Amino acid sequence: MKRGLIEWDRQELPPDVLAGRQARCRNLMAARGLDGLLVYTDVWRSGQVRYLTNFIPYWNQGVLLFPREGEPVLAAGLSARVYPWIRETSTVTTIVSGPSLGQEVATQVKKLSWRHVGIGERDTMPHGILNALAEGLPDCELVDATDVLDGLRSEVDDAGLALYRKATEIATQGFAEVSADLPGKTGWQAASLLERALRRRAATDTVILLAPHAQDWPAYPGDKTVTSGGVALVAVEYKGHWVEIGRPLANGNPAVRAEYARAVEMLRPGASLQSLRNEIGRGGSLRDPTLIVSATHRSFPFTQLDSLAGLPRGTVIALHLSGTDQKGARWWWGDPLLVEEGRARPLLPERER
Amino acid sequence: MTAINTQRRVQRLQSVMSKTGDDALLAFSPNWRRDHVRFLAGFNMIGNWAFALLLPGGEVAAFAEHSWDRERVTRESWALEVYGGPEVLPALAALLGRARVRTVGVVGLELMEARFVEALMRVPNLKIRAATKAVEVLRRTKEPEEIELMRAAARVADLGFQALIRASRVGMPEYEVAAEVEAAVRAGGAEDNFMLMASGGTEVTAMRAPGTRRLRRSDVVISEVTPQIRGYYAQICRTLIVGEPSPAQEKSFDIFLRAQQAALDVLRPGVTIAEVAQAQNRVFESEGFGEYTTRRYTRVRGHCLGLHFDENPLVLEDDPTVAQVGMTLIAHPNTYLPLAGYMVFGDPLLVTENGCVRLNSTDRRLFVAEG
Repeated sequence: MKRGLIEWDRQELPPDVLAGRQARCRNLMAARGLDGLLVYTDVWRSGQVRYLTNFIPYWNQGVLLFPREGEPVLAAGLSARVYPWIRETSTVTTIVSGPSLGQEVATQVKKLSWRHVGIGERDTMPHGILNALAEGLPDCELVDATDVLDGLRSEVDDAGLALYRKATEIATQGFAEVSADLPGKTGWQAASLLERALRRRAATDTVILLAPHAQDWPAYPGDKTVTSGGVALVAVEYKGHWVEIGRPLANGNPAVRAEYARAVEMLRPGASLQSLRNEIGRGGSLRDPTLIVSATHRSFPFTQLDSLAGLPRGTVIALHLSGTDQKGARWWWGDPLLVEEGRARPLLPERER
Repeated sequence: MTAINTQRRVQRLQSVMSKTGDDALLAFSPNWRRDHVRFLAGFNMIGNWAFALLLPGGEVAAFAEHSWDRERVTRESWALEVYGGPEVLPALAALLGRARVRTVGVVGLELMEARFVEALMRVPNLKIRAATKAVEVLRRTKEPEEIELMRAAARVADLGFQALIRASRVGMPEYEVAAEVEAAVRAGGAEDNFMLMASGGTEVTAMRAPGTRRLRRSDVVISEVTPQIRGYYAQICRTLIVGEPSPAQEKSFDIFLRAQQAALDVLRPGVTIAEVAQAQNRVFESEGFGEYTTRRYTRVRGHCLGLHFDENPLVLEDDPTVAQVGMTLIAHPNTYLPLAGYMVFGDPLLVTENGCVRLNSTDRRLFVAEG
């Protein structure tokens, strides 16, 4: 739940960066012949609307009506008393709401006289909203416009990258501050230490998974006592930018750290995940290696990718490698990576990880 | 820790199926509404979505987004069969076919990702319809174990508020205050926490996520802390002043105190939720502040609590729902008043045979942080 810092710092994310993203979006929409684009947001899936406007809902749902010409309109589930806060923390100025979000969006589309309407990430749009659009807009052509969002996100801007780096710093520094204190604590106590360390560094949200013992798989914290053989997976959001790290609680075995570096080197957009797994298995440092690639650029953590095909440049992913080392200890490492042309590289240099 | 009586849970859900005429119930949860699946199958989800299926014979199956998460879900859930990753949709279709389900009531249909609805529509001879409201009505009256878990959550909410008082020092940024509350409720066993806050004076018109504003002497600090224990949320709303309260702040808070007391006095089995809202609003009206009970300034005068922190019915003047023994809700007359800005005050309540009881124990007063 986003109960940490949400704010728009104009130095950190200058208005002209958002204006540039919006202009690029309009160009992509024009190329598709779209009058408008509908982009869904909720407290979990807030990344796409955040990318365009910096609006990050602390709960509830919304749909951004993004026109090819003119000002965007936000149809929000949040009540009118927080409209001033929405205006303060985002570029959105026009906000509407109604008893049914889908019907309200349909009403607004009619008012805007859109005919050819793109729906970003149409397949994952909530059925209630999509159904209300189909029923309320019989004269409109509603088309999947996920490619517009993908195209938009394939351009990396320095401001966005800096925010992902800040999230990575919060995760790595917060973990480093308390990691030595975690063994011997219950899962709840360990989570408490991590939460304080991460949120005092201005995390907007966190997801903490712990494997208390070497034989456990990471899960939500509980009563079990965490041991030095355990593992922590920490996902951190900083103002809508999610990253994930995975760390063993004991000192990392240098041989398996080298194995991780090799996996990063081998990771290529379009490569087969299976061949990557096989290659890691042949390295010999880890038994039963598990390789997880998680996409976080749409702003939610632990979204596992089945394939590296079609990974656009600019995507932020996390590469997790786990297994058992030759001494029988559980080992896990995960870092956020930036996908570039033909390769992926860690968001932070080695010395800062 | 209290365990849910799964046999009773399944029987209650089957009673819904017999009323709606559905052969099976399918729950869908996106990450931000995990309650639908948790009520049906008892597990906390990781990732973007999860399903749970109740078949005609009472068997429960669970479906996780990630195949690596299957083992954890198997441990947490009372489902007999658990599927994960790419096997989810084929397994769901196979189970529905094997049990000869013709009509499935979907809890959370309106939130279900379009691709899943379309996949269900492709299952031969299967009709899907919404069952969200029917299960929502069932969930309003809590089982004894649910009430125990909510009492536990209310105790942790009290701890969270104590942490808020300790952290509310002059110069502390709002987000660091929130970090201390978070650390306290996590140490108390909270899986999650819904929290809003704000600080300042008469310019504060609502709670929202914490910002970088640093607390100042004489600030009003408002917060709702809503920890979740084993799925169940309890919420506390309190107002504190950094340093000595001003006469205007005391006068304003007294109105909130009396308004909430009016809700406690009226809430009992047989009254409508509308009456609970009206009782609170009348106190503001009698002080000449009736305007500030409208939607321009406030959202609701409370809401039900349970597996979700904002369950229906919402405490509004037009809600005809009749209060019943076992309902759990918060009455909070939170709103803006020109006297001292937005203030909040609320406690989690359980409707009993003779009235209602509080589930938490934090004092009912305006708090002062030393600053």
